[in-house]
Amino acid sequence: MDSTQLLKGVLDLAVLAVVDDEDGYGYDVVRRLRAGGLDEVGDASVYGTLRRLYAAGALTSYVVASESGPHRKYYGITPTGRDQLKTQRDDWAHFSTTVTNLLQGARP
Amino acid sequence: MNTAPVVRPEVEQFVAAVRERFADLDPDEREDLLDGLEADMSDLADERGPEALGDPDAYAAELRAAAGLPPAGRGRRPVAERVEGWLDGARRRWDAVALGLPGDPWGLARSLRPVWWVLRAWVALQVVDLLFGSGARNFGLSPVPSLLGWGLPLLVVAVLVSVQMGRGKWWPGRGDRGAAARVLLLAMNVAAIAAVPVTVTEVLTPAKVAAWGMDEWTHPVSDVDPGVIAYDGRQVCTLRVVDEQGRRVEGLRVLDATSGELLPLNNPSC
Repeated sequence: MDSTQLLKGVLDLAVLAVVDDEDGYGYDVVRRLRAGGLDEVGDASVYGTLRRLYAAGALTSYVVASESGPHRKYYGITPTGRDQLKTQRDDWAHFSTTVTNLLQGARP
Repeated sequence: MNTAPVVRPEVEQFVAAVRERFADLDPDEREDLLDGLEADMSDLADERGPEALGDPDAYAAELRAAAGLPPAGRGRRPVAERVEGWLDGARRRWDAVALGLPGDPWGLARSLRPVWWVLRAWVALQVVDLLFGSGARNFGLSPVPSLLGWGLPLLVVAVLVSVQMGRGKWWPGRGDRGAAARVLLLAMNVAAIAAVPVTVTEVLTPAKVAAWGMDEWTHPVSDVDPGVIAYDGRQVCTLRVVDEQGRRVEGLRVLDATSGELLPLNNPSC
């Protein structure tokens, strides 16, 4: 099964979890997702997700100037985002347990 | 020290290409998507090399989809898109060659751009002067184009316009330029480059008098013919009217203010 399709469904959750752990700018979030094992995550998908979560009020953003390069846009989680993270985390736990059980039951 | 942030040219160009593909979005939405992208792409290019930037088309589409925005509209004409695709491709190939050269000559060339902005303004006015001004009257060109006396103020205006275009402030150089503006800009720059040698040669060529040869010659006054002009004890056979730089001025006559008669410029009896 193509894991990029699976990833699409949970990218919001993964991004929220990473930002909840510590504020980060776009590429830093990509790096942390990859370090966490999501090797196939696309940069643009992550940036787009960050922007969408920001527009929905789940994230806040602030700009940090850099001496050597262009400014960085950092994202942090908002209370709304934390609620969303909690709900989605529970949903995911429930969903993955269900699917795991199904797969175990289907074993010959 | 307060220096402008340094962004790799590939990153700058990539972000500009992505920006182009968001032309249909409203400005706030677009800036929100693009804000911070230069820093992220710089990190990416630093870590995985400029090749990792990839295709701006695919990148922009992925970013839009993930941000929950509709795919790019069909607002732009296919011809313009094809031209832009061709220009982008040419630019990428050029950059691939230029950035691969040792010693960063392209970086040096880029930092000399203001010099070119001034030079092209000067060349443009010289070409106008050559075709319609002094050049058309065979006076030759001067370092500051004469343009009927308006040369200096016009040069100031031309330099201002050229620099503003170069800085991306004025059309057709503006940052959000479309295909037509890019083609026009390219054509004007190529024309200016092509005009540099002829302009410089014309300006450096001294007065036309030298080219035509100093054809005034004199006779001793002892055999003065009463029908010719005499000056300083010698007779003058041919008169030439020249300007301060010694360039020949055509179409003028010399009037003898004493008699009120025109003097002959060539005296066949000499």
